[in-house]
Amino acid sequence: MFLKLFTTFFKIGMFSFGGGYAMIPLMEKEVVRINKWLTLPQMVDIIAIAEMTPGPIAVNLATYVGYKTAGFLGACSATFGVILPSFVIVLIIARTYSKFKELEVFQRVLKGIRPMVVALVGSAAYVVAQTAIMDIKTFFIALISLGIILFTKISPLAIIFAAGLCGIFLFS
Amino acid sequence: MSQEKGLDRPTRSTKLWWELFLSFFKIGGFTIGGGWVMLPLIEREVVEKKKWMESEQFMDLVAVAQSAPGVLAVNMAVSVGYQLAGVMGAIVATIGAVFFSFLIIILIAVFLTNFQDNQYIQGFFKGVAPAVTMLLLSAAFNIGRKAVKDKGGFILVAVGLPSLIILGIHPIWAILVAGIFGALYYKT
Repeated sequence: MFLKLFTTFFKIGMFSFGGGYAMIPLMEKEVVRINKWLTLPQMVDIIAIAEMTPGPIAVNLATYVGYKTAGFLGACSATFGVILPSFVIVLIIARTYSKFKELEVFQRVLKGIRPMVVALVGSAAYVVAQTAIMDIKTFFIALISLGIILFTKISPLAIIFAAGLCGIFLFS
Repeated sequence: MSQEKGLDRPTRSTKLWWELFLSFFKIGGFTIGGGWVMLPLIEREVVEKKKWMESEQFMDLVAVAQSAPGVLAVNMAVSVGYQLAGVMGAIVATIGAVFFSFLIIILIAVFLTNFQDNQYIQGFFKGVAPAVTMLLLSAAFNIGRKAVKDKGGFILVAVGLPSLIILGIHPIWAILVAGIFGALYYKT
């Protein structure tokens, strides 16, 4: 179990370009669909928690999923797994940076990967929307949130917190 | 102490390790919103406050961190830590960056189990979910403005999005195919 958590999150860390948000579709695939460690609504809760707590989102997600699946040691395995590829790859690049910078094919590969990250995050939004937006109330929360995100500079933390308060008011 | 000799030849000193750990602990522990939010804070700490390096060198390290996969905050910690104090510097900076969030999440995970059936907490998360959806959507647009600059990028998004959503292909395949496409398409 610990090994499975470690290898799964190692894979997630290895193939994520573009930070925490870009990891979400990969994590959804691995954690919800393939390994069935969590349900999709649980996963959405975790994304919200990861957003609201300090620190790197990917680490927050790994720690939480690891803990929920296999306790404290599970959290350690998943977190170590998600960090290790970063650590090793950046170390290698840092040691050989001057040579790496000239490696033109590497730049071209990155140029292809960056737009795909957009599609990945977009697909994550689609998947999450299926469980998050189910009725008229949740639709309105989504609409108002989108308006606030587009037209103000209010922080994501405040938006999430306000949406949560609306939720308590509307659904409890 | 590290300014004049630390840049190309990493120095090894316990005091510097400790300072690196504390700096990244502070940044990791008090920023909400992930790596992109941390970037300006790391710059302020590393370039302006500690004067560990020049701004141009910092930008080079950001480029290193961004071109690698994985957790951006950890990538930054490894690349700054290594530059200043070698492999050990990279290790202490990484531990510093993740330590606090690891602890907090463990506490939340323990704490939330007992409250999962609470109707107010359920209501809270039901309200949060649509907001998270929209944050993801806006993140996709924000990344898109910077990442999709030409026809090739547009094709990748236009083909990638339906393949991921409708066909349900694994994200790893999408990334590999996009990388190969980039290597061939952008060949001059």
